[in-house]
Amino acid sequence: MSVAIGVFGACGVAASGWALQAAALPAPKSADRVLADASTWLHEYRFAVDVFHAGPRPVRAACLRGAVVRRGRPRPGGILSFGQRSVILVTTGGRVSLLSGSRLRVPPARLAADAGCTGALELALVRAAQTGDHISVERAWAAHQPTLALEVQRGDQGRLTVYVSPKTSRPLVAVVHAKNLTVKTRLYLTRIAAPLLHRFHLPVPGSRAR
Amino acid sequence: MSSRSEPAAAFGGLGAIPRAPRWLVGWWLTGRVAVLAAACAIKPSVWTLDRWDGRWYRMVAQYGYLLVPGRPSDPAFFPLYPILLRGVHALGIGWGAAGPLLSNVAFLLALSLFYELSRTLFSETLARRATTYLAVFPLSYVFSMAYPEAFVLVLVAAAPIAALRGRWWLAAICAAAAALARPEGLFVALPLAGIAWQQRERLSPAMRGAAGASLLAGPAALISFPLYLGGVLHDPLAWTRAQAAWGRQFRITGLLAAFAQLPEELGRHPWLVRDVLFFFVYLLLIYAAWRNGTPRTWLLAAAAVVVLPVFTGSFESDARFGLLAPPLFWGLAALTRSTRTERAVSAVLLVLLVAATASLAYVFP
Repeated sequence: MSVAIGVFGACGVAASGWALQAAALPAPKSADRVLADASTWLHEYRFAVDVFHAGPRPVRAACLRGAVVRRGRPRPGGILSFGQRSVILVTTGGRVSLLSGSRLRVPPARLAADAGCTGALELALVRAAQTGDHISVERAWAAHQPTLALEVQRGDQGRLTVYVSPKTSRPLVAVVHAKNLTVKTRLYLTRIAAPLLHRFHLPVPGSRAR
Repeated sequence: MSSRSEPAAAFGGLGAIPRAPRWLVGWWLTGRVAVLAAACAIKPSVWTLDRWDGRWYRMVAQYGYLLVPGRPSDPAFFPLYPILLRGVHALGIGWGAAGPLLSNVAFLLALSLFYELSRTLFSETLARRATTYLAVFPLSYVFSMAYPEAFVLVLVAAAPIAALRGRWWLAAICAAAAALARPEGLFVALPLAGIAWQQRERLSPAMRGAAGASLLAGPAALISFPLYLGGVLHDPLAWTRAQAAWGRQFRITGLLAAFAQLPEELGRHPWLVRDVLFFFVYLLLIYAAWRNGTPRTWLLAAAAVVVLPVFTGSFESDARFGLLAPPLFWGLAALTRSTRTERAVSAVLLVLLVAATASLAYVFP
């Protein structure tokens, strides 16, 4: 009898604990869930091929996230490459500096890095999740398919909208709005492959950046 | 108790919850004024006491849990304190003030219960001394912050008092609540097991069942957390994943790793020396408590509270975790027997409390 009472009591405690949490704590909003899932995609993919729509015609680029060895020291960040046109070093603090080629005007380098690099996008989404920034989600159409538009208000940094697949939350398009400028990119999250790195003049991960 | 039926008595309150004596309120007030004054000197707002983990607890209270894989996120924080924060906020108190207010009030209750528990287990003199030390212990500024420690201490003291008075269902509720607020709350099952063993001859079968339930209550409550996370986040392992992202993962070799990595860690985080120092001081105090005749189940619980976190491979925050081990304060009280020494120790602790509170500007507890 003692054992039965003890086990019954323990089950009661577990059930009451669950009920208390379910009743007293708010469930995460759907926008937060979509944001967390989207950030998981961005966390898992270090490499993205981008098609920017910021000028008269689309511009192709690729961004590789990872430690960039520069001046003998590994620095976290990534490299955004527009091929022969321009290669940009992106630090985790959001700073950009030209590694080779000419300075970008369209799209502006900083906004291009914000929209086209998985590291910067993930950081923006995570910060929004961690600070309780205003996040909203609504049905939309992008990349020739129905999507969910995940919008994050970032205070002085403007607005970020990530269009994600409604089923998997895979990011498809990112749009950064800041200071009357808008940069939009189609995101192709891709596994790192040597031909792609070569095509975009990107270093093999771990090698030295110029 | 004789006028009630046994089950009703088992559920009953703690009997007469001792009214806090004036000296106890005085020490509580002294410690809290010292903390609030030092905190306000850093920044004159509730910001100081509502930051670090407090911000995460507040986020859970406001928005619920959200796991961000690979990144520090809030499922690492236990649910009971955010639930209480929601309750306090519902009374019309702002989110920033709710945490410190709840913690400070809970700490007064915790001191009263700790005093009562200490008096039951030891002499009046030792109980009074231990309570005084707890009130002004250097790390006790955490009991004024938006952290769950003050509330957990209430439960850690209340559960054995209830058990000692034969109110085993109440002890079970307190043990369950403690485990839902902090993982250290789980270890209150050890002293409860000791008390149940002592009372085994006197307990009826029904009460033995209740005593058994009180031992299982902590683990059962703990299980309800991943069940809940599984429901809302579709990931019952969200707590483990979040802990890993915060750099905390239990390993059998964790203790060795903590010592092996210590020089490197100290180079990166010099403040870690505080936690390492307290780790060894706590071990010393557990030894002093053992010499003073503290029941072994209590010592085991204290050792678990102090040593187990280091199995994550780091000493980080161990100074704070130890606050939930009552034998440390019994050990400290046992080391200082004369009134003069007691006064000197209290004064030193108070000065250290102010200094430790000021450290909030630089390091989390």
